[in-house]
Amino acid sequence: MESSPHTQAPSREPEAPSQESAPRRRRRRFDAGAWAPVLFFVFLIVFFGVVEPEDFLNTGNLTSILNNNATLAIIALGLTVVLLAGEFDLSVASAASLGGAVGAVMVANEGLSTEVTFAAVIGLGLLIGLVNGVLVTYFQIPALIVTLAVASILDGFTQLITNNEIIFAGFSDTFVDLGGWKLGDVQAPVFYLAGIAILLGIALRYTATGRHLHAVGGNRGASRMAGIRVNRHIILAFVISGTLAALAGMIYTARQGSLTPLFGTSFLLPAFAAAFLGSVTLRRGEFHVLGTVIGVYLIGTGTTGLLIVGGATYTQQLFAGAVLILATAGSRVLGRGVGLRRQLGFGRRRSGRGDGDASMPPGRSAEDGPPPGGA
Amino acid sequence: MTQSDRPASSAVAVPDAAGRDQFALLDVVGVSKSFEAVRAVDDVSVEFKGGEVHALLGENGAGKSTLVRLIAGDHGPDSGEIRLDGEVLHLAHPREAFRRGIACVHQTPAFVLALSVTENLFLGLPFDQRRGGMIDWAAEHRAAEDALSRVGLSLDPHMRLADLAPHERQFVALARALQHNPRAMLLDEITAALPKPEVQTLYEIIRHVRSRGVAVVYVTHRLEEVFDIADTATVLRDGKVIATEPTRELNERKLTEHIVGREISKVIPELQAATSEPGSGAILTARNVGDGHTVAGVSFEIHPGEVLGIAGLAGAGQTELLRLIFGAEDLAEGEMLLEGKPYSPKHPAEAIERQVAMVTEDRHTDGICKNLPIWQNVTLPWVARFRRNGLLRLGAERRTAAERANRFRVRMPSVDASMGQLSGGNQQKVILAKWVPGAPRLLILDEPTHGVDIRSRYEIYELIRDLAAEGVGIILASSEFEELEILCDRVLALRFGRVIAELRGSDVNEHLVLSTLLATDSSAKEEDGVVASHASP
Repeated sequence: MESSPHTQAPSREPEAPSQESAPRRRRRRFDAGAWAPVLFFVFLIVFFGVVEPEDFLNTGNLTSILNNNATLAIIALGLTVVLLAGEFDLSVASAASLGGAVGAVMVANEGLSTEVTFAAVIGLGLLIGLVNGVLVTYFQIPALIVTLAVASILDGFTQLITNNEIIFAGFSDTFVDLGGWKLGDVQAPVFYLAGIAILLGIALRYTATGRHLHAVGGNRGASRMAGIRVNRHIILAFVISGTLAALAGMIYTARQGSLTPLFGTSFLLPAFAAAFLGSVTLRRGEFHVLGTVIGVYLIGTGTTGLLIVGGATYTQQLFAGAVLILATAGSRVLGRGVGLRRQLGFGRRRSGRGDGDASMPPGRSAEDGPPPGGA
Repeated sequence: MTQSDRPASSAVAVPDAAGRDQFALLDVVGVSKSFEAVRAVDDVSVEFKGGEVHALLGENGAGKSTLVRLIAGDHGPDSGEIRLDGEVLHLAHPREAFRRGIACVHQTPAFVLALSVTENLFLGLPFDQRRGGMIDWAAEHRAAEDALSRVGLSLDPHMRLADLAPHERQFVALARALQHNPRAMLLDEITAALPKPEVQTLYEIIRHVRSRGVAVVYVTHRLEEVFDIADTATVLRDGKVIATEPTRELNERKLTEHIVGREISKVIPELQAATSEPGSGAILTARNVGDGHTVAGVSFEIHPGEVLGIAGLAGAGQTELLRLIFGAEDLAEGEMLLEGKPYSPKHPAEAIERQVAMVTEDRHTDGICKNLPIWQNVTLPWVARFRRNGLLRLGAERRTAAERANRFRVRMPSVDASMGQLSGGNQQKVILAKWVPGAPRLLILDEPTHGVDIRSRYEIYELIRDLAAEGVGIILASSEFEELEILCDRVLALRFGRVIAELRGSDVNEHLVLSTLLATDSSAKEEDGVVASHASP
């Protein structure tokens, strides 16, 4: 970022094409880069379909991919909101674990009703998000640190309340039904996912709050000067993320009908990978709901396919890790990298009052670059 | 360290006794560069001679910055060549250009703010001063002090760059560029953030560099600077060279016509003197306001239709004062009344609610959201107004934004384009377009024409005039005192966060503003020995 002075910063104004002289071009060309993940998705299906036509390409398998990844997708959607607002949430997996654990303990061990349990888990998610958000905004602690620490604390609580033992007996029917009902072969979590995705998609695009979240993710200083309460929006993003994660954890547990403590840990990397992959899917360098959902199912399809063709379990981890790196690299190369650089710790942090860093040369970021990247 | 690691000393371009040595030291021959479908630089040929200051002018987007970047090795040209001493340069990296003796200083120099001045000065170069293989920091700091003194800057090289005022950083950048006797210097709008007295210091340095036979390429928006310092001027428009002429054969009018490509009378509207009679009843009354550190005891009134200027040298607290009024800084002392009612905004949102708007100085840190399209930037503060049943009517919003952007003559491919695709002047107009239709009663403008080309600048002046005529109260801070003269009814002169004088009527002119600030400033220095380091917030 702030490299040596003589690797010169591009001057302030990218020489924007002079609009008057430039012949009016067609505005929206087919954007191969942004469609690449979709093409890759299609390629995966075709590839596994050709290699394992019977085991992979049958309705049962495809439906189970759909069912198995729905809770992960719900977590990834919450994460998407935080990433969109320019922050980071490493606690989603642990929030899911704890959400599931609290659900299981309340229903199975304490015999509490599903309604009360449901409310408690939602409350827990809200609280986690609130703590994350307040620490990040009002205490100005980097989200990376806050959510890492909170994740560890949540995992501690999970082990505490479950004695680190699997809970498999004592679930009430109503609780199991929460995650277990189906329509045809499609299970409940998929419908929850659909509902949440639609609501979130609408909220982000068609509400003032959604717009403000985008603005906050783009430029906090400008957002604040436009009268947006930046901190509140960041807290809101964390609350959405914490709540969806805890909810997803409970749904997952209900669907399984049993609880393995810390089951959520394995969701962390795929959730990030999916969100980042989503940010370069169909749009360039912007986190969005549809992208994240596509990202989740691309990864889900890839890992399931690898299992079916006989790959060991570790190949799934290789796959998810590789996708995360490729997606991030892709968004650096293709997109304007909005948000990404800052989230990965390269960019300036909030530029609110008394910000010593606000004077950092703005010209050094990818989005300011000369036209190949920027225009 | 071997000699070759550092730029070659000027072996060829020694000026002869008679005066200047005038051969083409840096020769740009038929250079073109396209970005996607746009020809940013189109078959440009310019000779930059040793011992000459060569101004490069043009509107934003005319190709100046691209040309400078080509010479500096940031990009390679698509065609044509760049020669230094007749030898074709193939620069793969800016570092190589630096080694060959092409030094570059930009409007916003890139520094590592957390490191010391010394470290920043020598960063990326081999640290020369060694003892037993380790860097001899004492010697490095002495070398740094030397380098700084050459640009007339006396400060402790241990200081972190973050603690320097913007104009001090600019001089550190200059010192850095000058360290190794460059053959050619590219100065890209480096006066944009410099207050006038510092500009004079800069001129002295440039003249000195010129006398040593260096080819100086001077990119600027300020026409008067061309006549102050340049020997030759080249005007670019739409990526092409429109004219290269000695400045003594030019005048401001001719230059403007070259830049804009039309006759000047059609470009610069007759800016009439402010006709609106200040209405009765103040819009804003400030009594002894301060922010607790930079600004203190400021009192003023502003009336409907009045343009109140705020003048000060770098870091005198102008920005802080404006941010205070807008609720972006906390009011630590004093009180404000907005239309007679108490007013102490804790957040810009509260100011906006009371119909106060502010155009910020730095577009990049707090002016625009680059990830949003133009139309969403325009409506950002008012987006909630487009709600129906809780949902935004995007179509209506977009149409309204397009209308506003057009009214403000934003030149753009489409309102759906991203802000990054606009030139600085047009970005600035988007920011004005964002605020003005909110029917502000008070409009706060902080350096509204920074880095804005001449045509956009006059358009912005017109807009300000129109708004004042509609009865809006306007507070305008500008480091270009000519701008204050053109626009303001009254000017408050600020020094170290306090009002030291108020100029009215015919006293509001460039020279008086400057002399007011200078007189008090120099006496202040004698009094309390405060140097400009006070400036950084």
